[in-house]
Amino acid sequence: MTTSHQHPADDTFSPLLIAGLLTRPLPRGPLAALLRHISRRIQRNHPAILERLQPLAGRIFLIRPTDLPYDIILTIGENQVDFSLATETRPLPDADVVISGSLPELVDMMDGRQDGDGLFFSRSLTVTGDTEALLTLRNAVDSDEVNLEQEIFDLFGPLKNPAEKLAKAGGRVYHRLARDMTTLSRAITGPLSNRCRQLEQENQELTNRLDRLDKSLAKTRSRLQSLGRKAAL
Amino acid sequence: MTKLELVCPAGTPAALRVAVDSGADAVYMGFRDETNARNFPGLNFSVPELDEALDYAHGRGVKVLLAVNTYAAAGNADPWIKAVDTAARLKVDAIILADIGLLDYARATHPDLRLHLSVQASASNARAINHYVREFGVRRVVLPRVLTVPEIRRLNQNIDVETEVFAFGGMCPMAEGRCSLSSYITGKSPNMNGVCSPASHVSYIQQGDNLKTNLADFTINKFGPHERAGYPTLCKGRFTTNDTTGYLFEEPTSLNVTGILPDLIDAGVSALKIEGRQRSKAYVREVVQNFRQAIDAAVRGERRAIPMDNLSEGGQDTTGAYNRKWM
Repeated sequence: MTTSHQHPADDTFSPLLIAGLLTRPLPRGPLAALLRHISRRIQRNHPAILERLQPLAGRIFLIRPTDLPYDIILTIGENQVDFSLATETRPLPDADVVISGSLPELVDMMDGRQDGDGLFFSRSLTVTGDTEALLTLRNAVDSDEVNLEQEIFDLFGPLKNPAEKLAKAGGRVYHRLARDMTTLSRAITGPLSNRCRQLEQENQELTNRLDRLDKSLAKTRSRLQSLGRKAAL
Repeated sequence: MTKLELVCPAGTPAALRVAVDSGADAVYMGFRDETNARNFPGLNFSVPELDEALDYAHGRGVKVLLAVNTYAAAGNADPWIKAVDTAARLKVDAIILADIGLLDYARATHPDLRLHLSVQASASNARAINHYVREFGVRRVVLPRVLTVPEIRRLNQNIDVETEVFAFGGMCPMAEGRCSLSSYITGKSPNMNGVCSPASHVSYIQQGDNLKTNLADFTINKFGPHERAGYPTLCKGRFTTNDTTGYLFEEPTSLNVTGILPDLIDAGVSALKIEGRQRSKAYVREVVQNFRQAIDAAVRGERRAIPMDNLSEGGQDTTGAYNRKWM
């Protein structure tokens, strides 16, 4: 399966999207280092997950946070996992599975705070590719207690506690901003959506009318043919 | 008033710990093979994991039930026999079986092992249930999701064994143990292979804002933008017949009985089963906590319906056959 490096056009309008766009010029170094750290921690602390992932050795997952300008590549190896950042210069590998969703929801899912199927039902999460590989990954990650948030804070060393407090405050701000963004987004797109729905309804009515006319035309034709045959006799 | 036992799913060791910590009275799981009806990739327990799970649950006063609930393969019953022997050796609190050969083996070889009759046996009348009780000493029967509450009440009056009913999750509209619908297009069925709509045959295809769900290259459903989705199971597919498109059997929906718990208690039900060994820890946590509250409220004589649309297929729930009005 081939994947492009373009994010979907319908990116979630969220604070992280704006933050992501603002941070785009920043060096990718810290994020790449974080991903390496997470890979090492999973290898060291979660052997049960690695064991469940073994049937997936050689598979590649593309994780596409819709509110960040970065894609993350997850490669499953023999008893190892490797998270890395897709770079603009390096072409993306052909991924077996592509997972798209907002970053907070992806992290919450990985940490066992959000149900992946629920996110899929609500269309917040998009998945394409090899469903069996996806399910194996989901079940493997869910089989142990992974705490991505904690792994991230651990990176701060002696500054862990202030970082945690800051993040919690940030989380509250994020959720408030997310609500505001949703309201704003609805305000902007609402009238357009209503108009689209109206047009769709009109389109449906016209289609139905056309169908009825088609049927009536067919009947008239058949009647005319029958009359024609009778007249010929 | 009878105290309802809350029986919760565990697809993984972490889910088991979550279920125990969230208020389960009992947790059920299966081995990582075709002996259980949720044989999904990456899911289920190894023997050492079951051993650890028993320590964790028993240390907190929670029972462990092992599902060996598929039918033994013709000519090779060894994995099933081994699963029963392991369950007895590790001292699980009960084993959930459907196959009469395995019930007979368990009864004869491990007389102290408590036997529950799986829903896969589809025992839905007093005569069938009494047969299982008499012949194999079954102590609890999991009822198929096809009975109304008055029917369950009448049934309980004519049997002398505990009954367990489904309370939340996958809403199977067919009689369990009798459905081979998915095998017609995938070659695999829940009864023989432990999978309905096996993941190896499922594909999700994004078409712009629309989502198409396929099973073995057959389109099962197409969801419009923002329309809540469901699993691609044949019984919940949207099909076109005679120019009309709609759901032939059942819509994407989940079972939720929080609103009728007092009725189920009154009908003599002993235990409630939460479906979803294939679901996440987050699902287990939320559903188990909510049911714990609902059961405790029902015991106090209160009726408390708790919607869980965020976890439900199609974002909607139903009381299914329990409140059936169409027959």
